[in-house]
Amino acid sequence: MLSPTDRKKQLQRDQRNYKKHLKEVERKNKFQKNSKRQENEHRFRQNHQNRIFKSRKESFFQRYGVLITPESGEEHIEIPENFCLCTNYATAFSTIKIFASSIYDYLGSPLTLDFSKCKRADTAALFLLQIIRLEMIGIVEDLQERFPALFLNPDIKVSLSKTPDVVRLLITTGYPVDIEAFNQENREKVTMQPIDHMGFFRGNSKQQEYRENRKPVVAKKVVDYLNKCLDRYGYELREDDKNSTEGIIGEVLSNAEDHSSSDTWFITSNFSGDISEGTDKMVGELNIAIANFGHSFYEAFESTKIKNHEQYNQVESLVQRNREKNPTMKFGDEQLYTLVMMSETISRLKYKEDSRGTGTIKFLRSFGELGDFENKANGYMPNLSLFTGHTHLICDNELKPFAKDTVYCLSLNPEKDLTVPPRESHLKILPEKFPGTLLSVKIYLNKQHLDKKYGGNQNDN
Amino acid sequence: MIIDLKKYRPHNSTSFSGRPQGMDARRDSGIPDLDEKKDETVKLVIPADTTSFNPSFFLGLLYESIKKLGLEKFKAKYFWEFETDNEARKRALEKNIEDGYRSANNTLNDKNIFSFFS
Repeated sequence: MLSPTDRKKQLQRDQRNYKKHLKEVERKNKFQKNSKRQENEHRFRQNHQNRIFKSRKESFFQRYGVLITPESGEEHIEIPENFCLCTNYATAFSTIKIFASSIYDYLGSPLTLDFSKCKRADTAALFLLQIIRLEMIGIVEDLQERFPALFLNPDIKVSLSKTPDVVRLLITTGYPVDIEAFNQENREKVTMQPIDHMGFFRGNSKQQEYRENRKPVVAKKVVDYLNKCLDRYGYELREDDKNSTEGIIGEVLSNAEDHSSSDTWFITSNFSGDISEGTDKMVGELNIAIANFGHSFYEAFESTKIKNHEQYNQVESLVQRNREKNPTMKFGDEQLYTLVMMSETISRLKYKEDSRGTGTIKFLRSFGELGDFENKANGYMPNLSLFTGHTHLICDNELKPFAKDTVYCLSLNPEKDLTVPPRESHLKILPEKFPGTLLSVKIYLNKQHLDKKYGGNQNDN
Repeated sequence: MIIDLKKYRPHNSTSFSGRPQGMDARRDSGIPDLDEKKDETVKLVIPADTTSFNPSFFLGLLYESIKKLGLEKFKAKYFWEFETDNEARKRALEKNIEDGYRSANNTLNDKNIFSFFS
């Protein structure tokens, strides 16, 4: 039995211990509360950062949002057997969209562009793929600067095609391929030898003052590039050729600046030469590709419908007349309006300046002047392809602009009549909208043909 | 009065293009005021190394004057000088200028595709 004094002491000890226990519990609770709070705070910060990153990522890529479908990207992008926008638009364009989505989905991961099964490609498709690659890498680099703790830069590898002509086009559109090695290995297999790659240029429609005008500078770069390529064969562009080349570039870029809803345009050019029959009979393949994203020709025309009502009604009546005469015609308004808009004096800005409506026909005519050499047996057939919205318009030596009195027109039919349906081979409905305008020009230059056309060398100084 | 167009061609280039740039050059060179001076002739000088003169620039620069004066009076007031000695280059540029006049004339006379296909 404890004495009363001991009991008292015991009680006091128990009370102290209990207090200690309560303190301990309180301390533990406090610690748990703190760590939970810290965890919550950490989670909140991470979510917040994720949200910021996600929203920055979305806003950075917004410019190309129309090409991106989140979560549809692939780490291994297989380029189809026929990667041509001109002959296989739906498949080629959807591959380009998958590539754009892949960069968006797999930031910081290795991606492969696999051309191993590709047997045919065209400059238009390769150019568009390159623009998307370069633009998106630029966007990722900007994003990387904002989020230095993350690793975002993509590592894009290219698996080469087994078809030499596809590799030739890859070289001339600036994909990383060893030109010398290719030339040595494939000298016997291809007639066209890749010569050089000009690079890509971009411009901005905000440069409206003559001091900031970048179009003539780029046009000169293309001409200089062509002359550098031709110089290898002791040859140079004639004055008329220079004039036509600059006519195409200057007026297409002016069009892009005046009518596109986006600020930026892109241009590239490449050249390959066939000297299998000797340098004097050399045939050069010149490709020029120009693109901008934003309004299509038709959308731009529709956007000024009210202010430009007089011109709009005239075009509408002409399309209507064509429809009435040809009720089974399968084209929609978009294709027929776009075709009429190609002709001289038609402009969506006619209400502003009545002298508008010269640029489009000028570049089409310049193509006709420069691209009049063809050799069907060798597959050297010049071609101008314009992709805009749901319209694909093709000019060649058979169907190109013609003069009616003093006005130049384009009807895309042998009847040379805008109230007769255009040929389905030259005006096509694109199954998926091209978000802007892409122009691809292929021209063949032949020294003998030019000598004959101009009556000898006319570069008389 | 002499207007040397070299100033309106960007550095490192050999061609003229762009309607807004043509209009900007028009304002800067004072062409609207020159149109008012009845007895004064104007020489437009195209620099020697120019290889093309596109309709977008031509019309931005001169269409309002052609519209105001009429093509004949315009041609009596405004003259072209091509600095180049290269005959082929000169011919190509002359073709560009003629093309500009043709476009302006079509607009002034309301000549368009609707006259033929309506």
